[in-house]
Amino acid sequence: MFYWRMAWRQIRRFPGRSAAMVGGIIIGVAAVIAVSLATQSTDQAFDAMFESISGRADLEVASAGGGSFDAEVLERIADTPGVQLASPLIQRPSILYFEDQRAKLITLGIDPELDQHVHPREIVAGRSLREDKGLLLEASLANSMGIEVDDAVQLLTRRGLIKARVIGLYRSLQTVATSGGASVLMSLTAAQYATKIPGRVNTIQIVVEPDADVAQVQAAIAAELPEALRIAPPAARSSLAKETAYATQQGMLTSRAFSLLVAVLIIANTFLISVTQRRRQIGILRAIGTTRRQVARMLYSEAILLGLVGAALGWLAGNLGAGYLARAMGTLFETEMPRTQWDPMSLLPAVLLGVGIALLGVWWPVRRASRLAPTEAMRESVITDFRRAWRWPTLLGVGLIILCSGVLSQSLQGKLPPIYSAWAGALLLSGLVLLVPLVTRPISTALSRLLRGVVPIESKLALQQLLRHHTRTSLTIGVLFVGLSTGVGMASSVIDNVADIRGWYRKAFVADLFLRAMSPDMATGLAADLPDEVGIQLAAVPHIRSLGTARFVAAEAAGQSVIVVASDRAERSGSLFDLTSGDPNGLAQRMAEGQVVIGSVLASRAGGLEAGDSLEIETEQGLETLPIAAVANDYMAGGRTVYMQRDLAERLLGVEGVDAYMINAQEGHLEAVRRDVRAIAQQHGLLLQTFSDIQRQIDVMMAGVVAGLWALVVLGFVVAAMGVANTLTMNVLEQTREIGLLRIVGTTGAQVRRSILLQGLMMGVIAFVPALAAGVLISYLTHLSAEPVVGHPIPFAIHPWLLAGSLVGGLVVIVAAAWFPARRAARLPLLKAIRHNQ
Amino acid sequence: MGRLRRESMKIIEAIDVTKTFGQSSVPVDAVRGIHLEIEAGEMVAIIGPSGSGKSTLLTLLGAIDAPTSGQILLEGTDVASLDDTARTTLRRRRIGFVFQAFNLLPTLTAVENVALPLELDGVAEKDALARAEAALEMVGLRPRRDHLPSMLSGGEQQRVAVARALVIQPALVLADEPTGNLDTASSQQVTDLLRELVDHQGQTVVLVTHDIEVARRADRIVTVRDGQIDHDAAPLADHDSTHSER
Repeated sequence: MFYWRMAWRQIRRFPGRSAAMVGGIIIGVAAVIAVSLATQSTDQAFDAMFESISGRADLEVASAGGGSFDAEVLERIADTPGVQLASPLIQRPSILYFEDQRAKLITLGIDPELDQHVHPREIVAGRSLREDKGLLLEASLANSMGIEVDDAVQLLTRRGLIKARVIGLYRSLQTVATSGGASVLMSLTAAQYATKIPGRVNTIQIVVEPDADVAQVQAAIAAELPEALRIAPPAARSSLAKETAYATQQGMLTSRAFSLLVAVLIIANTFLISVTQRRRQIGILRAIGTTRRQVARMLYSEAILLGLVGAALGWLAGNLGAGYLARAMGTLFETEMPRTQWDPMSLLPAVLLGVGIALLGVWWPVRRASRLAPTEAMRESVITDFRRAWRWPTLLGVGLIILCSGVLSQSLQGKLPPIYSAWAGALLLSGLVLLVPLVTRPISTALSRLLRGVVPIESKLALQQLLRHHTRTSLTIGVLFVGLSTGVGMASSVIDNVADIRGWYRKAFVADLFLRAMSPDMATGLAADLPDEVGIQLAAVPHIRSLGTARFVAAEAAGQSVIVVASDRAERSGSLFDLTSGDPNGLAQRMAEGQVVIGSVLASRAGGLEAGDSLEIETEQGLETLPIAAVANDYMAGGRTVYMQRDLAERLLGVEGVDAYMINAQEGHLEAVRRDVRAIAQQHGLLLQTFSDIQRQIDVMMAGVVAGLWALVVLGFVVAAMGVANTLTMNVLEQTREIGLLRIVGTTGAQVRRSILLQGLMMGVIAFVPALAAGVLISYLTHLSAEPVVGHPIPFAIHPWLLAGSLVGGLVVIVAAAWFPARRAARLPLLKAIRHNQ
Repeated sequence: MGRLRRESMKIIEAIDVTKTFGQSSVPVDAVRGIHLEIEAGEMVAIIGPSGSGKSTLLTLLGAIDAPTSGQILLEGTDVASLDDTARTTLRRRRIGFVFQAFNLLPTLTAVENVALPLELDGVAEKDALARAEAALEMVGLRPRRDHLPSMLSGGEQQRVAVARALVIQPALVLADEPTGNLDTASSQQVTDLLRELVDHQGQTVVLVTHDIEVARRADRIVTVRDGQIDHDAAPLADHDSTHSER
């Protein structure tokens, strides 16, 4: 209790300094909590979507191409020993229209008798499908759209917009309802009619007897199945969706690692200042019989208390940030994310983390404070032998740089997971920070000499004060260095990544007009069927130069879950792809001959496939080997895509229907074509988009995540400002008497102010020049470490305006942070100042 | 007021003590081969010009620093042979310190400052505060128990520091310029207080001072010059050397 009381008094006495430390802890804890919760939330959203479809099923039978298959196999499966029941299912993404509202959902065609054992549901209003014909709507979705029982709604199907009556509202008894996984239920026969697949189904869901061995049952069923069908546990299918989010999640995890480093540095700097200010107090404590261990215990108690406060606030900030990030991810993947859960249990790890960061940050200052001899501590000023004090941190810094360079190199070569490169990068920066004390003296001396011609007195005073507190100056330079280098590195990466994505969609979406019901669902890879009539109507529109189609189906290729894009391109040109391997000339011809273009992530995951290699793909006829015409940079479905000619996809995967039309008008007839196509779109409730619409849509999708990353850049500057303000305030406090004496002997207030501002600027210059270089290096390493994740090298560029802007911005931030301490110094009352500490 | 007299007993003894600073560069002997014995219940004033080594001698007697050579025997224990933790514990339990700049912890109230050494020694908070109140009573500051140092005058702060030194019932009270920061009236009060402790409670007090009036209240005045004892005797009528220093 005694130690806590002492700690609490100290915290209350210096609220500003305590707030700075708490701020550091908040940054660290919030970054970890926000990123962890948002990642967890994304994964949960994808899991929930699949669970809402797979329910209690232990196994699922589906066709290799993700299309429909004859339902006659159902009886054979149901009769297999160990199978409790087999329930047929039709699932298609669709659009529901009610009044002027539109909602994306999954249409499920079910056998009501069998399905209730796979998906336990509660009818919360109206009737079940066993009692009536019509639609059963998820209650949460119905409520959000204001739909009630017996209301008439419209559903987009291959037969066009069909009117149907809502006969009841249901709530899943198994999964947490999210509108991302919202579904509408109808009878199997009604779904077969709407999707034009009479007698066929998409999936057969199998519940195994409780005492049966799932693997044995799977093997037994597999032996009975025709070659075109596959059986697997349903959970496996969510991996594609999770992989889609992988690259973004990795980016956030990298930011998290750097945030933690920044947090520890802020705390170390603030606490070092705090214990320096209390040096005399520590001396008294030591003199009256406080052991080193007791001094350390007092200081650690303070860190723990601040850690607890910072953890609680960081937890709150992290949860709010997680909500924002999850929404941004939802926008990016066009998926409604569940609300991030305010799980009180996550407070415990947050507390451990907060206290851990605090203890790590204060370790070095506490070590120094507790080792102070009482006589040394009680002296007015202390001259430390910095070479001795910094000997082992320097060795540690060199060790960290060597170790982390090794880990980075292994990670970049793919021998270690990419996340290792993030941590190694952050620790490498720590290693560089530990070497800062070696350059503080020579560079600040050189700077002071340079400035001597312009501001002779001020530069001398600034140099004296900076070197008097070598450790503090070096740590502040370290904070500035990390803040700016991280900011520049992240900003540079964001700019290059956005440029890469723009480069991709400028090539991938080349048509005057796009007609579709929705963009393909990132989780399932599927899109809503366009009514067959649309194709016929479009064919009749005059002045169309070319009409392309695209259909997205889920499949397995090279042992990976992939999205096959079956396409009749509007323009047969190699420039439609942003190729990373292969010749664009004659690409359309090679695809027409049966070759495929694969996404760069798939190529990378499948062991570095290149143009000229071949791809094994599961088809209705078994495993087929297709020659690879090219590898393309692709952001659709996380780059796990296979582009093939429509007729090949129909033959191999049984692809039917169309998800999108790409339309090019004859020259001078774009407006006329647009008018005609818009009429068709309105008739069927479809989206008609131009290239700029799609560009805008993608920009909106990216905006949230990009904004989050820019926020980190700003944070870097804020952190830098905090460090400078802290150090200079402390310097002014310690210089109070000296400043008073200088003023008495004729130094002007302006000269004093300039000397304080110079201290900030000199630290800035020492930190910023290497920070800009380190920022470029971070950006380069981020590009390299992203390559295995995105599957292709993102073009690396140095952005001079970013570097110049950051340098100027950083110096402005420093001047702003130094302004108040400088003003305070210039306005010190002289008599009070010279009596200070006397 | 009758004086409490004890049998002659050495509380602390310095035997051929030397303290050298800056051994790696230019060595400076702050204290050179000093021999000093202090009896229980004695009030000894150490005086001397600035840089003479008197404060260094006090830190050596108080086990704050270790001598380069020689022995410091506190109640028979050789302080120089103890490690840092043992020396710290010894300070906490047997030596009370009073410093020139009061040196109270600004975040603690008067009573908490006084209770600090006890709590550091593991005494329960309630007992520590009770003993601290008794010590404050002794220096006449009980009514100011809950005041922070910033709310007390210089003299009051120094009396709190004396109470803190006394609360552990030390074998020895060491005071480094205890009146150096005080006005004449406060200085008189603090000197009276230290004298009373010696006279009425048999407390041993060693103080370093520049103030000849304060030194004259001691039983012995030890004059230190150039790191050595120049003079050790009962107070005489005048001590011009100290006066001239001031």
